[in-house]
Amino acid sequence: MTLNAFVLFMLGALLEIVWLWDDAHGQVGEWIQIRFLPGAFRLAQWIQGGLVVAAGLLAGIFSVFQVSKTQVSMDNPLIGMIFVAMGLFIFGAGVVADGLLPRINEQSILIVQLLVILNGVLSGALSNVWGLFFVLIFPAALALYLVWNRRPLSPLLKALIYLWYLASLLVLTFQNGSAEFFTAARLSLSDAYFSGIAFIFILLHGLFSIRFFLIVSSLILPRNRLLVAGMMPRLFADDQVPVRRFVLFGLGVLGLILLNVWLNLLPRTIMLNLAVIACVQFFFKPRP
Amino acid sequence: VRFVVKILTKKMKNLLSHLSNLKNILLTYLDGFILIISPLMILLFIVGVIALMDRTGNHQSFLRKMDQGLVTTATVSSLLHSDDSDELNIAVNFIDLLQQERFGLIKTMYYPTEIVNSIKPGDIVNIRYLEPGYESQVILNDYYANVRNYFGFAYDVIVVMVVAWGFIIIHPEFLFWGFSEEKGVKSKAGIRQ
Repeated sequence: MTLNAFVLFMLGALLEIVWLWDDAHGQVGEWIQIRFLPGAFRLAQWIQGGLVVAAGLLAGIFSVFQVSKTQVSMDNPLIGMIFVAMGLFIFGAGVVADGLLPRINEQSILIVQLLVILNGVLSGALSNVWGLFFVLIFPAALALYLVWNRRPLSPLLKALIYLWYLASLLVLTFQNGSAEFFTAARLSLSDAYFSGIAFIFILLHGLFSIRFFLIVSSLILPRNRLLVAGMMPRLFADDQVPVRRFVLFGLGVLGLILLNVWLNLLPRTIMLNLAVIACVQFFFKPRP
Repeated sequence: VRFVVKILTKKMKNLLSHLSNLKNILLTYLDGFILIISPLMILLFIVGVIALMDRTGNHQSFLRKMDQGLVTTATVSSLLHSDDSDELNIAVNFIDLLQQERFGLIKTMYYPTEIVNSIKPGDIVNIRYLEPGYESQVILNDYYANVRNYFGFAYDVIVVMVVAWGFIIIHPEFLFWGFSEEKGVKSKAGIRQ
């Protein structure tokens, strides 16, 4: 990607880290006012503003010195080091410690299942038996169960469903070719920005899925099941699905994605990733 | 006789009691050892997954390049035994698309032993090779399916991951660290439970 595209990729990635961090810490913090600037904002909001300004300045400087079109890739040692540092930070703050992972509810899982099915239909993954089972039958069955069941789920069932949710995110990532997309040589500035956001979200959930797979597999021994009861409330809220509102919203999201396919505004990979992130982090955020 | 039997029974009971204590002590130490190394095992498992993904990616990338590769006949020049492993490689010479003589290396790990054993210096084999500029590794075109289905690159990593996984199941407490909301949940994990 070009140097300016890389700046926007990093802007998207750093903003996503700030959003996740802020969200995981309950969006609390002192309101800070700076003289000559209107209104008071929290530290996270100041950081977001600072990042946008810094990215704008950097892109401007690169354009003035006519290096904005220079190609950069992971093979460059500095770029490689930035990615390694980012990966280590995500691993430490999001996988080892509880600093980034967004809490989800049934609606988040439902919308991801719907997107997996839609992407399966669009990409032709339903042509074989395994694809049909993992991309259509199982997600549809899970969605129906979550809508039909009105009682809070047991911690063990929550753990299994949460593992399936992580697996669905990975399926979606491989299905829509996100990995190839992030490393593409020609990314537009907007694609680079949205890719940065999606990259952090996918990296965080991908790494956490390894830890969570180990957690769920350790539940083979009944004595370990006591431990998971204390963990699931942090990851999976008990909010029930408001069926009518969800159906309307789900149809809206699906309609938007189909409209995008028809009008070809954004690449499908970006659109699907954005739909997942917007639904999980913003629209279907569990009640505190 | 009764006295001797009584003494012997008492001695046997003492011995069994000592053995039982010894077993408990050994189990306690083993349990502690597994608990201490379980964070390392978690890390090992995660590194294993990353290594597995990396190796799979490399193999898939090699296959994608080979799909675009060219097919020709080559002459087997020699059989090369690796010094530090049992691996056998086959060196071949062939004329490439630019009519230049090139050297190629066939790694035998992809193919069944009987196929590898049947190849001798001087034999003519069908190979698939990459354009100049890529690595010198070539493959036997008649057995391309074997290369495609090869999974040997993953065996050693999977063995390490399975061993690590076994330890983690016995003591998974560290997996829950940082995410537990309920305080005071006492773990009952361990090999003695």
